[in-house]
Amino acid sequence: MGSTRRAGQVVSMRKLSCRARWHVAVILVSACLFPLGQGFGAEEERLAVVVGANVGATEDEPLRYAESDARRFRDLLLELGDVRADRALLVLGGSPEDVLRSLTEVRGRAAEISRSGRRVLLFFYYSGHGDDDGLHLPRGTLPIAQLRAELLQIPADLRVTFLDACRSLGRAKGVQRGAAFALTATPDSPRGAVELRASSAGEAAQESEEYAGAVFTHFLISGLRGGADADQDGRVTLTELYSYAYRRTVLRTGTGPALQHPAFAAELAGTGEVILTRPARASATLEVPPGADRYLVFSIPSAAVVGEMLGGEISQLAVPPGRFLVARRSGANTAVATADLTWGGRRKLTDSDFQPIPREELVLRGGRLEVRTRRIEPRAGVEFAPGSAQSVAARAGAALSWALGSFDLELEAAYVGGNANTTGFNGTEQSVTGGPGLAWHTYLGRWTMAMGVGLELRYSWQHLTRPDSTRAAQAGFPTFQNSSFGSLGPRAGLRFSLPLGNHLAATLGASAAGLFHREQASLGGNHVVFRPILFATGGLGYAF
Amino acid sequence: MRFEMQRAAWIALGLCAGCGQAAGPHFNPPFATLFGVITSSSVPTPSEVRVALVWRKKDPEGNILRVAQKLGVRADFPVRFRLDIGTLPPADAMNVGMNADGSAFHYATGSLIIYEDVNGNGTLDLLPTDAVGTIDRVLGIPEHLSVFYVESSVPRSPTGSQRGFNLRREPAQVDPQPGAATCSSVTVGTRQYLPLSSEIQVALTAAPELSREMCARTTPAPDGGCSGPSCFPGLVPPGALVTCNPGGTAYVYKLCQPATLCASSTCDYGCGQRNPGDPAPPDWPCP
Repeated sequence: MGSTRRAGQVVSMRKLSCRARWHVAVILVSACLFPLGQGFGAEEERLAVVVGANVGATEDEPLRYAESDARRFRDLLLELGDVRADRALLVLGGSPEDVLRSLTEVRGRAAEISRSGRRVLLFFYYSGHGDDDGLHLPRGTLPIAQLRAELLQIPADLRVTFLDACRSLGRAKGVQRGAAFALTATPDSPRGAVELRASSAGEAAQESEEYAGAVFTHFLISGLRGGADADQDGRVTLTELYSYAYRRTVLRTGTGPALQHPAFAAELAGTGEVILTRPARASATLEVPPGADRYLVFSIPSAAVVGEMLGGEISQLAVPPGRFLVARRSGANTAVATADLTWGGRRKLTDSDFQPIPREELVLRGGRLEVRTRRIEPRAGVEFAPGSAQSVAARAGAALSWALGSFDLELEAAYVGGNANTTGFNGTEQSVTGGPGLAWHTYLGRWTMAMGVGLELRYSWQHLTRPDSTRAAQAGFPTFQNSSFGSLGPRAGLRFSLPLGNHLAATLGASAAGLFHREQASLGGNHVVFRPILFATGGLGYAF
Repeated sequence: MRFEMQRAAWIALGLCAGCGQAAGPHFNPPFATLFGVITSSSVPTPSEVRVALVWRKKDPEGNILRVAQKLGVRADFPVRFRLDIGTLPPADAMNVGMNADGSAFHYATGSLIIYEDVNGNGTLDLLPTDAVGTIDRVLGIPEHLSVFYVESSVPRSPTGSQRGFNLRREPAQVDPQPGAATCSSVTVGTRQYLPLSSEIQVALTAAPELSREMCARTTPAPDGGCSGPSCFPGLVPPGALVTCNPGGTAYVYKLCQPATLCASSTCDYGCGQRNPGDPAPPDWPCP
């Protein structure tokens, strides 16, 4: 227990003493045993129970990412695993009774589906502490035997269990061919039970600061997102997933404080592949350059790790629509790139998209790195100043901003021009305006919303003429009035931007400002007046 | 050094923000400002006292057309007031004058009218020709004083005027006196241009005859009465205003007959005179 730090990462040791005795009738690792690919289709309905618990028994050191891993796993099932949201039950930090209640609920649903003649596939995922006695939940232990019994009572054709919690005593590392058993190939889809465990006997399942999650779950998710699709047919099968998760976990933990060998156990009958996900159906796909480099994909702005790719293996990853930071590690060199897949689609990154970054900075900030921190944004719009000589004017300019985390420093300059009318004069007023500002931004789905305050500095020129200037001139009166003046005041605004790609974003904003300036009285003298203005502008931002 | 530069930049920005002055939405420096004083008032001063400048123009038929122009009043009513003329006379009010040498000039002549804005619409409501009553109520008009406005070249004669707005004292039209050689109204005095800063004196009388200054159009008729330079006794028509000399040996009468408020007005004059020793003829109007 406790934690150790190695190579910039903190690794927590999950509960070591797990002695679950899982009966494995057969271990099927060869795809040739399932010559017919069986896809999940209209005849198959999928259910899931996803459990995560950071806090275990009193003697367990709390985990950091068990519950977030559970959320990520459930999201993945919804996204690529063909599990409907109302059929994916999530239990976070709950008691054994909560878990059992969820299993009971799923049992009822499975029975209902079975009665309709459709095939049922059940996913059970657990992330947290556990040992040979059971799963350590915050308010008690759920005995493994009871869990297994409950799972068996669910009338599912196939049960796929992922346990990222413990190690199993008495089992060899990795994949082991079990005792021979009589397998009768049937035309049916695979039926039975499959279990993937994070570690083997005597090993610890580990959490990683770099992944912000458990190592095994990280590779499960990466594999299910397409990293495990060895034959690149757009589907990730059970065998592909285990193969991938095993290799990657062993490789990754080999550089850490403790080696971890994921284990696989299955009791299956039937024919065909067990297809877990279909990355090819994802609405967004991220592709990295071929090569031996390692790519870690972070979601922006949450900085959550979405998955991992090895350029030399499968170089594409199915991701949900959104923005991503891709960190590349190539030996001692690190580089990052961003990809905007807000609208879905496929984004193929090239070497030129990556910019070098110090390794220390990558380790320190991870997915919160800002790659394109500067943005220039031409803007145009209209400005209203009710009650002033220039009530409506056009506004055009540009803003230059620097992103500092959730804050933006902005410098805006603009031209404002339009007609100006007083009681006795008509003419034009033109201004150069702008100033510094500070904005805080947040994300609302595809939109980025920024709320900012700043200072508006303005210098204006008025050229006014009398409407009856010809007659006034003939009568000997001055016919025009030229004046210039400065004004100053606070500004606040709200701005929304919608990404249009990796560099471009369309923006729309509205601001209010109050300007103080001196105003000339008709009969001489002057006084300071407050001029409220409102302006709305649209823009096109280019990040670099 | 860098700090000094930054501080200098901020100071410059602050100074810049305070520099210059804008023309606000109500900016309208007046072309001229007139100063007035209420010398006497025989009527209670109403709350809605306003001042208008009514321009007069003669059309080719000789009719007098009037156009009212609002004035900004900075008032210390009921005693003193200042009038800001913020607009030029309407084009409708402009006349074309010719100098002796054939050169033309454009001018307008107007009167100040102090009135009660009875209907509260903020303007002096001029009356049509057939009006039988008034809308607003004229309280007073400066006597023998007009505002004279000139564009383009200045008229060569009379001298004293200048381009723009002028304040002009007009000669008075005086009724003939009993025993005078003629029995028509006579002009007394000459036109005189006054500085714009001259104090305009107004008595608020609300006299009914002032209401004619609100007529949009009037047709003056030539005064009738005596023909020739001498007076001959004549029959005094009923309703005529008779003025006798102290001895009762001479008289003039004046009979004005407006049909309606804004209709043509004609005044007939007549006169009579006898020797002091002669007996008074029958129907002699003087005692």
